[in-house]
Amino acid sequence: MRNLIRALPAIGVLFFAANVFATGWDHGNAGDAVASEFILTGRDLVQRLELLYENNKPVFDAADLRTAVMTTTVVSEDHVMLDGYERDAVNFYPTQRLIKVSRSRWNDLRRSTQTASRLRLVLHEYLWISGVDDTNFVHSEHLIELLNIGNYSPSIWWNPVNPVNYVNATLGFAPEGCSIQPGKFDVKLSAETVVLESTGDCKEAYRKVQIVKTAGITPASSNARGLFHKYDITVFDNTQTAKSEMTFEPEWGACLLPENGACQVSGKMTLGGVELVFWFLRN
Amino acid sequence: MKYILLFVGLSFSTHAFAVSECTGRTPDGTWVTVHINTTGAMGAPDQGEVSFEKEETKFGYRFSREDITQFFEYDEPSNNTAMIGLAAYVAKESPVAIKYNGPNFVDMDLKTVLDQNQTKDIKGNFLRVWKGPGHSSDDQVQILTIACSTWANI
Repeated sequence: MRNLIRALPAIGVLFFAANVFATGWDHGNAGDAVASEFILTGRDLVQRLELLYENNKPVFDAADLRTAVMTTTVVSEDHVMLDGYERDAVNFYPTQRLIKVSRSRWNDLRRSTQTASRLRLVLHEYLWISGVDDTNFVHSEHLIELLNIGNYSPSIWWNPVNPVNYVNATLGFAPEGCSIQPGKFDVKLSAETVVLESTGDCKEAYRKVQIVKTAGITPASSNARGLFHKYDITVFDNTQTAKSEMTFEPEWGACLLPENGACQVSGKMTLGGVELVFWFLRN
Repeated sequence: MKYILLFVGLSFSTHAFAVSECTGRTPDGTWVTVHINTTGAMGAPDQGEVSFEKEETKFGYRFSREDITQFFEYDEPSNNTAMIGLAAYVAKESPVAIKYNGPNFVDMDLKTVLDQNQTKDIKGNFLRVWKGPGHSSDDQVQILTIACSTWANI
């Protein structure tokens, strides 16, 4: 008993340490994989909803939802309680832009088979923050059904954190009959080289684009876990002289869909007389 | 008596001190080598060092026990293979990571091993390290063809 009493302060410290919440992604402490996955799932949902059309009209105006995802702090705790009951997550609308996620519940929700439930929960919490009354999941349930997303594991979906699988190339000046084809990347590979070369009667307009992909590990303070990809790009002219080179690192945890202009970095650049657009196209 | 037994047990325990080393070469010809030492009866990772070497230029940095978040090393004498896994964050920020499953090139010059392409057909290994002081933490080197050795039971 005496030993137990002596140990109580240490036990208290350990208990407190285990329950201290941590924030994720670009809000706060490092290493909270749960908050990071929650936020990335929110970003993913916004992108998908912005692409959801019915009869050539957008199904959902995602502007407020996007703002909510970008400005809300997400934290995780071992257990999240509300009115005496354990919950998957709670939001603090309208007093705070804060969501608390239950780490114990998220462990189940991150299974592939729980994809619909996981996405519904994330959308539900962010909808509330954006000012939408989503009592009984009335809107989130409907939108998740419309999105019709297949099962996936969040641990592999955002690894790398900045996926790219397609690069489009356009020659700045191209005589008739001279063109350059797009290229593809495999997001599962941590190293690969893609070469795009103009074909036809190009003469001085000839360009060869060499893109070397490498991978790095996300630094601890980034709050993201996994790999990121970088692309070393070199453009050669018709004398095989390197005209221009640069390193491109796509934005982490963001889309690369240049048409909708929703991303801070679109992945569009002009280098050595070639316009390149890096995309991540969903299958 | 129990302390005598503990002392004797620890004195005769194996894997008291081991050194693991992995080397690779970047496309520009820079040799990158990572050393990890383990100490104590439980073979805890103690410290590590990353060095970059190109011609006469050599520099590097160290990381401490507190920076190592995961480490595993194993040598299989029956077929002379080794497994090495390392995850460390220098100053708790900049990554140093190794995954290796292949021949244990113990007591061999790893640069010669690589020059002779002895590991070129082994897939799935990697060495990813921060470039060091003066570089941002996401400025890293990735090498996928590496050679490693682990000296256990020294």
